[in-house]
Amino acid sequence: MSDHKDDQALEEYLKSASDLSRQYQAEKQAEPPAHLDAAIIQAARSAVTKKTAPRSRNWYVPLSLAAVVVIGVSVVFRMYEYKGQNLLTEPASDQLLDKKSDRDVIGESVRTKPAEPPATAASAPQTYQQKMEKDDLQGELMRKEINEAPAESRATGQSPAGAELNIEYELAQPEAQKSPMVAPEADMLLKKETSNINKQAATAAAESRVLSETEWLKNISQLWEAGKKDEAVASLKQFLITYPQYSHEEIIKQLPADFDPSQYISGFEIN
Amino acid sequence: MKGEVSDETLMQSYRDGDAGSFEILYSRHKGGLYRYLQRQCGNAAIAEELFQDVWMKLIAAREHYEVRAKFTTWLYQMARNHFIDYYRRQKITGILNPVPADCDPEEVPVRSQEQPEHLVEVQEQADLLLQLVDQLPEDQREAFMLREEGGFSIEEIAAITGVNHETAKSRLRYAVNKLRAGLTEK
Repeated sequence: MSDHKDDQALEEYLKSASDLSRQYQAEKQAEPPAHLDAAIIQAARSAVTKKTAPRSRNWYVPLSLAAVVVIGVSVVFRMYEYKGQNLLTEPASDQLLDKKSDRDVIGESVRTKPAEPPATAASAPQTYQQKMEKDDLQGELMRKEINEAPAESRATGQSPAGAELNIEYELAQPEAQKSPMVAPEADMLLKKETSNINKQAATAAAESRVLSETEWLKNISQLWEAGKKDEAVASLKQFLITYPQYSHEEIIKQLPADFDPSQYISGFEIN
Repeated sequence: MKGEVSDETLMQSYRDGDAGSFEILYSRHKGGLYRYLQRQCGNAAIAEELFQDVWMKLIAAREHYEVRAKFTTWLYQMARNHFIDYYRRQKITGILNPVPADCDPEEVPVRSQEQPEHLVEVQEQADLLLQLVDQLPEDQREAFMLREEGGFSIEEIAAITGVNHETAKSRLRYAVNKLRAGLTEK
């Protein structure tokens, strides 16, 4: 009976014209001070003027340009390298190892690079450059050169003949015993750069879509459990900005037990 | 006219770079939110700090804003959680807490009228209804303030405070009954 009466009183109150509501609305006077209004509105304006373009587009452009420059420079560098521009400066052993590397990547007949010719054969560099222009005949010409080279050069591996022999030898060596190489290093660098760019692009794509709260917190937990603590903390900071309505307590409940955000994020202290 | 535009649309406009939309939103909700925080903690200085923090959070979150719920629900939920986190933090870090202990939303449910600061404040206000509101238990006062300042329905109060519909309804009912009884007595 009493509950029914209470419910009626509540229904009456919920109608906005109730006495209690009218009295409260008439009484309320407190307003935030003017200096606070000014500070908040100023902050809101500044935030908008600082950032006119959407976040994702802001850094896609420079990243794309950087990627184009890095890849472009790498490709040009390699083109020049294989055109024989630096044939005379590279050590023979590097050339030989590079030859193997090239064979692995794009096939021997296309990019094979001859080694530095013996000092006694004055006309040899020219011969090699000419060979470079005849890709299809290169293997044959190389073999011919081997036969024509002096015997002692063959033995030391400093001549093209030695180069061929060294190729055979080098192919038989375990990876760990191989000497440093110029072209494979460039290859590695290029691969690494490409991988980094891909990684950044993937991160950007991931950030650009707003994950649901649960998904996001799950990802953070996975990062933490995978040992990527810095990434987990960075992601949590971003989460706090994106979902400010979330209480720290609720967040903590969804994170791994050993992840204490208060150690990384100021103002995250919680019981 | 912008004054007729919904809160959600205004927030979206602000997200897209229209600072004017923020000003309209702010003018619509600043009073209610400020009074809600002030009533919840009973200290004007702390209320101002919390009030500013909440709006700053909103500004920081604008880029990611999407209409998933009513704007005011989002705003008051943010304010409530910030308020709770703030008091937890004060307690843990051992910072001198200028706020009466009864401000903790989970520690002491009923305000003590014996607090001198509180008495002064109430006397200055010279307002019986507000005094009664201040005396309500925390959860009931919160339900009442959300109703009066945010204009929320019982369902929305339940969503903001993280309780079920019946609990929210019960809190509001108790609050209304106590206030009415208090006004009748005096």
